[in-house]
Amino acid sequence: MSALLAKASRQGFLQAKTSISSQGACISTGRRFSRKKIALAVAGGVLGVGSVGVGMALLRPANAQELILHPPHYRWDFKGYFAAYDKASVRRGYQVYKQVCAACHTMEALCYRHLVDVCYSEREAKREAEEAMVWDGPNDAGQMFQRPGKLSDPFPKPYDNVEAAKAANNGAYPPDLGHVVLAREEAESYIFALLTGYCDPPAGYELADGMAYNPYFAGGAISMAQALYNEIIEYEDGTPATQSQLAKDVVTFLSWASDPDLEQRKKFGIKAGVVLFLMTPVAFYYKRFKFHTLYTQQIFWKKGK
Amino acid sequence: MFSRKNKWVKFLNNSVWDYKVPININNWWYFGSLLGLMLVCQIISGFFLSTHYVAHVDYAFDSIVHINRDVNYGALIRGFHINGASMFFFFMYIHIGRGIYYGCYRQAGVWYTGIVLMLLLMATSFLGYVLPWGQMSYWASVVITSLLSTIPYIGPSLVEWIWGGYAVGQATLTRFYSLHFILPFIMVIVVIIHVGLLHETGSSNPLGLYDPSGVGMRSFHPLYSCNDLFFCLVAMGYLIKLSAFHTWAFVPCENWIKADPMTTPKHITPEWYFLWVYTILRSAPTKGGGVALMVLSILVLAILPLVPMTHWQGGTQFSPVGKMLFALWVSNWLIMTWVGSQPATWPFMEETVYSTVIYFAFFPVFLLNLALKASKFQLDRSLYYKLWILILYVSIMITIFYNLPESIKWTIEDFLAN
Ligand code: HEC
Ligand code: HEM
Repeated sequence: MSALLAKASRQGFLQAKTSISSQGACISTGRRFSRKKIALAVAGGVLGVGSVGVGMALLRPANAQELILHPPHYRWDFKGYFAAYDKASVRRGYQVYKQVCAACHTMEALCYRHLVDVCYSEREAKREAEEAMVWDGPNDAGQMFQRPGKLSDPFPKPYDNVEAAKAANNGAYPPDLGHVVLAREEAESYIFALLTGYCDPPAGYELADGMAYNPYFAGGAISMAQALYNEIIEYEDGTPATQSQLAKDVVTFLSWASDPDLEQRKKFGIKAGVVLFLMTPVAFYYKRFKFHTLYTQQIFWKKGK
Repeated sequence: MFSRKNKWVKFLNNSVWDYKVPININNWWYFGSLLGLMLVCQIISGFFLSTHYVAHVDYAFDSIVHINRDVNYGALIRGFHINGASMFFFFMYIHIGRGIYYGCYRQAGVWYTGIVLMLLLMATSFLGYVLPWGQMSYWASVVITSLLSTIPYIGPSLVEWIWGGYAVGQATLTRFYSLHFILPFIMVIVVIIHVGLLHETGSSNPLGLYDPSGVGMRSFHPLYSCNDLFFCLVAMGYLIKLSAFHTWAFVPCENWIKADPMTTPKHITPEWYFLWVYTILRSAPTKGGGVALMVLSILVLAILPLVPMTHWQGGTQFSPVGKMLFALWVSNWLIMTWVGSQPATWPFMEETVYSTVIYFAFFPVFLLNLALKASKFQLDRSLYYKLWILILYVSIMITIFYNLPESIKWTIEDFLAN
């Protein structure tokens, strides 16, 4: 090994005339600076970074090209390291979805079984599924038939196909709500703001027939009419069904639907975090322990005779 | 059988257990092991994903949804794979920066295999990004593959050959999946060569000293093995934090919408780790020029091992000017990453030109600084190498000039005319 190294080093630095101490002195340029110089350098750096920051901050408004209202950032109670979905809210949100949104929107990836042990017991979910009539078949006679839904059935679709959905909605397709929270830039807060943000268009704004105005929607004109009003449905648990309550519940439900695994992952993260929290300091101590002879040794190089 | 007399045991022993490491290496030297860790992580999480993924244009997106919803810990494994890819790049960029700062590129073989690894990583993650078949996956694959159509003469047929048809479709998806599966294993082989070449000469160190006597060396075990264990735990902790709590942080919202060849997403932006290349691509007014610059931006790293050999083996660490140049280059790189994420408007599009020029101008200035710093010139690289630098730089300069905005070009022409 050392023979190889010697070959590779060509010049053999250790035999060179320069002494190691002068190399050492070069290592930190800052050490030889006077206090004044350091203060000047720091001030210069702060000023430089600060002016770049100010410049960037000033650029921002100049760059507001799209006329779109960004939603406020609401504090969702399922955000945070130790937070889970509020299951009562998910259950109410499912009710809102079923009674309001499902008239136009699909949730293709969701089945009734997904609700089990989340916001419904198995018996309740079965009863829920049975309310829907599902096409099945063919039977022994080769006929298609209708039967009450089962746990393994997906949520029913409001329209037979995309064209039918478009035809019924001013030519706009109501997007699938299965992942809609993850599929929008400002996620939960955007959908909450969208559902509660309907208002009259500003003066001079031409709204096409059958369109509604919503400042949070890109362009302002949306094909979905306002869906949520105070007391539009009655909650089975007696919660007052104000518009914002309905919106919050349905958004909680949609968030759960987008990312049902969230709680399982957080639980894993917490468990792994505890284990790592115990292991890492031990590993750190062990490494320092192994290194301590090295850290405390001094090497001198002397000129050969 | 496991005695140290056995040929293979001896080889393993010499290259891992008793491998001699300089005692003065600092924390920037541990990112190499972390990169190895990430490669293993990606292969393991990728293997589990592949057991549920379906490479079919009609089912790929749904199979990803299925992994998220119905597979036990499926979303977590996806989280490991997605965030692991990002961490892989993060570590790799630090690893390369370390090499430039401390002059590690002098070990030419190691440096060149490193560049191959970087290209393989870029290819692998691009191919993997296409697999979920969301809007961003699809459009990224369309945009990137059609860049190849700018290659003169063979370009258009090359693109169709890669697509396996007249558009990105089923054939493209399946071959991308096969390639995405195989490339990491090719990376494993290149990593072995990379490390093997390193062990021929031994690791470099922050002082740039060669130590043929071996007084400044220790065996890898138990010092560096313990150190690596600690750093691997920290890295794993960070990966777990990202995957468990911020799982989708790097997934653009468009990718939660199934690929639709009929609608272009509003903003097509690459992953953060490609933004700097994207800036270089966008700095050119013509597509072909951008592609040429993009290729050169990686090839240009290959000229660093041509630094003049002197009695002094360090990099920039003892040269204040070199440090400043390096800091400028790194800041420029960060700015490029930021500018790449911004919309294609004023002032960002104008800025890309300056960033690209600074990016390329760094290398010759950097080498010149090191050459002047050396007390004694000993250009022991062959003429062949010098020619290669010359050709590379002339082509960069021509490409940049060819791509400068008209106004700047006129100013330069005026200046030259007077
Ligand atoms: C009368 C039918 C109808 C009902 C009821 C309805 N929507 Fe919609 N929704 C639409 C249509 C149509 C669009 C497409 C709008 C467009 O693109 O202009 C839409 C779009 C959306 C969007 C996407 C907006 C975007 O940024 O693209 C969301 C989110 C949404 N609806 C949520 C809901 C929720 C939640 C409910 C239940 C409270 C609901 N909708 C009830 C018809 C409906
Ligand atoms: C160098 C190592 C690797 C890197 C950098 C890498 C990177 C990526 C990236 C960026 C994605 C897209 C993630 C997303 O948006 O969902 C992806 C997806 C995928 N990768 Fe890999 N990968 C690597 C190794 C592997 C290996 C070895 C396998 C198989 C054995 C694999 C199988 C998959 C599969 C099946 C997907 C699609 C599933 C998904 O998108 O979640 N990967 N990869």
